[in-house]
Amino acid sequence: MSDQLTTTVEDQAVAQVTLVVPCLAEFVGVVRLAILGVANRISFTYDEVEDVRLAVGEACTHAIERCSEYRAYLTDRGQEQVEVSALKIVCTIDGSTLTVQVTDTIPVAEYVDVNSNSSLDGIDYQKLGTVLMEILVDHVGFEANSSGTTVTLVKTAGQAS
Amino acid sequence: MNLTVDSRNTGEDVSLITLEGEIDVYTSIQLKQDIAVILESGAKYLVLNLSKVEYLDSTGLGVLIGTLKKLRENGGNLVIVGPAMRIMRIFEITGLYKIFAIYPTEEEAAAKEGISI
Repeated sequence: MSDQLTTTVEDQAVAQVTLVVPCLAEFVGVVRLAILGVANRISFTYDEVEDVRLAVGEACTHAIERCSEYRAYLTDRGQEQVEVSALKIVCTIDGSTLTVQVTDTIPVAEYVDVNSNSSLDGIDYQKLGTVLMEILVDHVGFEANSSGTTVTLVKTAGQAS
Repeated sequence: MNLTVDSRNTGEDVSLITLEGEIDVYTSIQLKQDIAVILESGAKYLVLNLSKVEYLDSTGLGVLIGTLKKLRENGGNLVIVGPAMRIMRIFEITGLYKIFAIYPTEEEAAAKEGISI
């Protein structure tokens, strides 16, 4: 009998993966694919990996919808369209915990959500997205300021969300 | 991966829509438009076969809920068929399984809902 080959994830150093994509709907699939690879570095179960993938997708969707509304807001005000904003996704692997921060550059203080189109036939799917995130991961944090919004998602392997 | 939408009439006011791929913020706009066209043609019952759908997010759920509302207002219904376990879990954790008619197969949906598929 030998137990010398046993290793623990605590032995591994903290690792960080950063991804920057245009804040456009067609890039959410790219982010989900990358998250799949990152989440597989942790001893998550299949369901846990899928939970993280869906939660990060929801965080990106949240940013993309707001970005789209912000562009419409600028157009309504006759302001020149700025270049497509970037969406920054920072994944930190620390032992059996994955932290994903999704940051957009939409200025919250300037942008007033008066023309929100997030309500689809009376369904506010941004709210639905937030509910999903809260169910799927262990911790969800929102931080908004004049330079943008950061959604922080934390999930630890083996913990029921 | 994108989303493919294949639809056909299976009865006077019944349409079967088979979806394949991912329903997310990018593809749900297309899905909403395709469903609107089908509803305009007079369908009262929509059967959505989700057996080949690999991903469903809140925007996709929003399209499904909106469609369900419209159909029920006109005395019809939206029937969901064959979601994979992963997709079914999303209906379960959001509690939406309580408002949708969900069946494992088209045959079972046809029998229970009394529609031809």
